[in-house]
Amino acid sequence: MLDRQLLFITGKGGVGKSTVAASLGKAAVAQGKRVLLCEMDAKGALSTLLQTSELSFTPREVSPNLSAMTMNTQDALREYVSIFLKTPFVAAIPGLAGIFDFVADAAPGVKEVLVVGKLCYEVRKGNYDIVIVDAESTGHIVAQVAAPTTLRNFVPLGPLNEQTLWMTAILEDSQKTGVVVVTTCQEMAVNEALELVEALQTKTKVDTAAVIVNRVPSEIFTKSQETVFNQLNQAAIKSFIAKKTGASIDLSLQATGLARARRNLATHHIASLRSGLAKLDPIKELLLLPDFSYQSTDLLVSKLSSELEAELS
Amino acid sequence: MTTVAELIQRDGLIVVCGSGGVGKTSISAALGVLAATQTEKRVLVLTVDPAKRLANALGLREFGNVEVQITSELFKTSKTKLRGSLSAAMIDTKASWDDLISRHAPDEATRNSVLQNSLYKNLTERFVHSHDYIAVERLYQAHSSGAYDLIIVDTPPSRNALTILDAPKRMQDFFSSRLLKLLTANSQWQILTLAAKPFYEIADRLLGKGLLRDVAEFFTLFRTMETGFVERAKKVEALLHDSKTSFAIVTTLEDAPLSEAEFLSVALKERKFTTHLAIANRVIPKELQGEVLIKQADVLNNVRQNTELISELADVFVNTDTSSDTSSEIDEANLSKLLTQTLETIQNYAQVTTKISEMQSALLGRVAEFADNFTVAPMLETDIADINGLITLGENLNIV
Repeated sequence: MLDRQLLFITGKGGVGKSTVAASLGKAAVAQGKRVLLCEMDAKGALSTLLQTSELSFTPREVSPNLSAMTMNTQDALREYVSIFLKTPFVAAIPGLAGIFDFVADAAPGVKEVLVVGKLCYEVRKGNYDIVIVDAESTGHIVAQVAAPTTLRNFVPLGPLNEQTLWMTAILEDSQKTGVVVVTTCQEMAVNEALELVEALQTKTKVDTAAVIVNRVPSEIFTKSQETVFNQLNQAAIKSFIAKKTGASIDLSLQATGLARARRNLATHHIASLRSGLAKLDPIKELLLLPDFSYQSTDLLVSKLSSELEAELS
Repeated sequence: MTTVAELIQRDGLIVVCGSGGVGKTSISAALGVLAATQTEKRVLVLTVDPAKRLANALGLREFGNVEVQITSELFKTSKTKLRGSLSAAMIDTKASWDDLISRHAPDEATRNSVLQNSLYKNLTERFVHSHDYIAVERLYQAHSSGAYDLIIVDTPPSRNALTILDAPKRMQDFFSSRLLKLLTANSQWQILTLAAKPFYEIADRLLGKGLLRDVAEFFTLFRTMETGFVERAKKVEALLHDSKTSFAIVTTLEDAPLSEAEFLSVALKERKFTTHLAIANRVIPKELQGEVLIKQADVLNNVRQNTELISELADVFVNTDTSSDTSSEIDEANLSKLLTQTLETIQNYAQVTTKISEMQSALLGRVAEFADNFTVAPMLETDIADINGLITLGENLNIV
């Protein structure tokens, strides 16, 4: 996955997209790559995760070989116009920037093309080995990666149309570009991930590089330990222990039982994800990441990135 | 100060907000079930979340823009019965927009031109966060139909919940904006002011001339519906600010969702809305909190290091008549070792659970800071997939 040059990290809101994106970035740096991390619409999550000051449209090296930026349509437009149309930017005229933004918003694909165009441009320039995008959530990613094609159908002529061709060449090359779908092991998140993988396959020519299940609770018992645990829960055995020790362990059993139930539930949802993916495309890479959700932010990224490094090596 | 019991006694609206993945949809549905079983109210649960989740939680396969009444048949296996009525609906943006255009269009010709405009779908999807506008409009519609005493709205994840609340105002602003006036100036783009000229040249080069013309045409038609839209948006806004409208924020006790919840409560306050209730979801059950598990962990530690006791325990294991089929799998030779390992794992989870509940208590302090009143819902062993699950969750919410 990290051998590609452009990765879009997406998934349902709340599954930990930004955390996974930041961790993938660190894992890629550990593999010796020069990395650009890009956050969409200045959510601010990425700078917090990287423990750095506010990010801007211009990439900044936040640690050796790891640069980060935040995407902004206005700046993307400004850069696009100056690079490709060789025209001084006029949308700075008061009031007009708003109109342009609005019209660009209304026309299918224009805004997305500016954004995706900037990302592809960074890939083409080659200052980084890999560009990792903390992308839009499930609802928007299909429109985003398909934007150059959508726009070409909508505006059959003109400079923007020509520009979309080289973007498509990068986006639709599975050696270069991939979407990483992040999910948690919850029913709704799994359903949404499967729907997204299917939509990417049917509506775009962009490859899904991997599906990552985040926050997988760890395994609790081996099979034979589980049998012992079940027996420990029997009244006769519980009262034997209580008699011998003069204390109860009932609540510990209950706490372990709750953790086991959560783990079993997760296993069940992962299994349905696996079988759903098998129906769509059996070769999809499926990665499971442990649950670090009670860790502090700095530990979270470093733990996840070493986990990813191990998984991907 | 409002408890869940008080909240569901009130007529009006409950807007449920919160970060993604905290269980907002289940909580909304559980509140709906609670209200319809504890009171004689006619209750509607409305989800604006594009994911079709409420349907699942209510045991329905899928439901659309129309309100579906949940039959008492569904409560057949549960002790709790419906006293009022319970309906649910999802919001279909496209269908609702079509309705809205049909309602506000001055004549049939305008209506048809708008509905057939090539940009219509795309424009309605995007401008002024129309999805959010539709959500509140739909809410208003359900409210003003008079068919419900209480409507519970499940909003999309947090920051979007704000765009929903801002949507009526934005719709009004849009009609009076310079933007719309410029777009519909009834002129050729080329002969606009001198200052604007280079802009349009670029826009044309980028987007193509036809596109700008289509946009202008669409909005020229759209402006004919101004009066209807603005009046409606004002009413919708008034409804959100009505004293009968309550706000509930749902969060889990983890740092990221909680930060979103705090952000949300500040933003609500800025808009002069009151957060009536905060709900902390997936909290370690009460009986497992406190010192008790630490003490038990010590006991477990002593037991597993006491070889004599372990071998006694192993004897009990072998001699206990376990009619369960699993007993045969136990390898008696290794039983002592296995017992020690298992007890260690249990000791470990007693400690982990304590650690998590300590973190949760600390984070609950943050909830108490932004909400005058909060309630907790326990971490459950299974996903909520049916009415009984929703009843249980609702009852848990109702415990003060």
